[in-house]
Amino acid sequence: MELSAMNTRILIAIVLLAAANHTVDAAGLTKEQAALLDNIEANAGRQAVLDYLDRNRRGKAASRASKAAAVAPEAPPVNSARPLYQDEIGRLVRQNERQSAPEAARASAAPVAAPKEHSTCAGFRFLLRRDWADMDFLGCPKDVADAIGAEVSFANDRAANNRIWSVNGTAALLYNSLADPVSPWLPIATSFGVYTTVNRLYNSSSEFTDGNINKAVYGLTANFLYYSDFMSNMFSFRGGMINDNLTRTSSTNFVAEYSPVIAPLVHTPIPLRNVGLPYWIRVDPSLIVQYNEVTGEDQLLTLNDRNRALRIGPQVAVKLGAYPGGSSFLDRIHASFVYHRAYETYSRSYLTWMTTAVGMNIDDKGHLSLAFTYSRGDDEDTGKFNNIYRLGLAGKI
Amino acid sequence: VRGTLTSLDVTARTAKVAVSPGKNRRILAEILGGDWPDATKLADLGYDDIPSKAGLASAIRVRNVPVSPAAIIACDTVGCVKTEMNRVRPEWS
Repeated sequence: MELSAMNTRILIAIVLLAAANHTVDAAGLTKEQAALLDNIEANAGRQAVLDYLDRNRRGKAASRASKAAAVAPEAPPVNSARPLYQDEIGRLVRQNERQSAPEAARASAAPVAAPKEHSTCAGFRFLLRRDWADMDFLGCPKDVADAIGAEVSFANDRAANNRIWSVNGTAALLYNSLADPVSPWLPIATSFGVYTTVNRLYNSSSEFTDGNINKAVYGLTANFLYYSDFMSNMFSFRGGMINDNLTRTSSTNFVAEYSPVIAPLVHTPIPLRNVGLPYWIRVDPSLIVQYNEVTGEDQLLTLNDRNRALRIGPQVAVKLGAYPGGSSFLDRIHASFVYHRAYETYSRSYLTWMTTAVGMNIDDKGHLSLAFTYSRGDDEDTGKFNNIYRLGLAGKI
Repeated sequence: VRGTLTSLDVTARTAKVAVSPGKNRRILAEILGGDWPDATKLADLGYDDIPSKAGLASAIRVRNVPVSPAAIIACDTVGCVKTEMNRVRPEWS
């Protein structure tokens, strides 16, 4: 706000008046203050100061009498170039805001409503299943009626004089949430959990001990999606350790993956109908960090002939799909392509993996289909080099 | 000047949206590559995971339809998305 020279002098006078502690005349001024005001050139400014002091004195008296909330003295009017109606709007705004202040205080003190939860399996869940395959860690797990349960069994093979005990099951504690975040630091979709799998098989006969199994698996997973209209970010973590108590070996793996989502180009289907093709295409880039470790006698990873490996690298997956409802030859074709290149830090070498698949539905529903796949590169799990194509015909009735 | 004028009224004027029947449907058809029946699965149109559905929500919101991203991610069908769009932008339903 710009202040003219006269207004500045008026303000200085007000400050001096407030600081003074002398007897005052009928106008509320000491002799020194009156003399100072006489030096102010504009009579309008002098009158403004007098008006201000008058209102201030009355306001203080009212405050002492009622002990009510202090009324702030209004600023002395200044020569303003702004139109009158704007000042009127400002006065009404200040007045209404003062009136609504208690209501605003009550509103701010009220508890903030939690965002609506959209996940059909929100919160913590304890699950018992045969294995973790039917536990969709990012979505919701299968219904209990559709899932395969854990199993404890006993069999007695009288012919071979062998009794067989087996335990096979997975127990998991999962958490899911899907709600609009109240802060940009909170994910819109959250899923995490821990699980353990027990796989044991015991043969009482010494002839069948080679078939014994005593494995325990411990795993964890966590997925977070951060949303914004411009770009969303997906972070996924999963890890597990397999203990083989018979061979005294263990295998550990951990994978962290980051995937950006930028509509309408990245991780979002792009309609190709504008160029005359009955397809959508999707490009899913990601950055993947993979750690593997094995322990036990003579245990080495085939990735690098060491007992641990750390791979870091990008991956791009491209999917091509036909829109539903079409019946022409082109409408029956679908394809995918994945390329992953990673740098293995222990051996200081690069690993690449590429796989592509093209399929065609022979019937309308896709129950009979023809598929062609081609893979080349270092296998993601074993590190073994592959260069293989495959042609298959699949059908179901 | 209204009697209940506040600074919010002065600084955050609500944008007026013109009534345009069917605009929500046209916006969704533009994004999904066609005007699909309500029962069509989003997975059949390429939206088969949570990140891609977040992209769908983003594509809708940048077209001035302020849907809840979480509600869109929870959808499995085209009809579910249309319902959410019509709920927040009824003048375009």
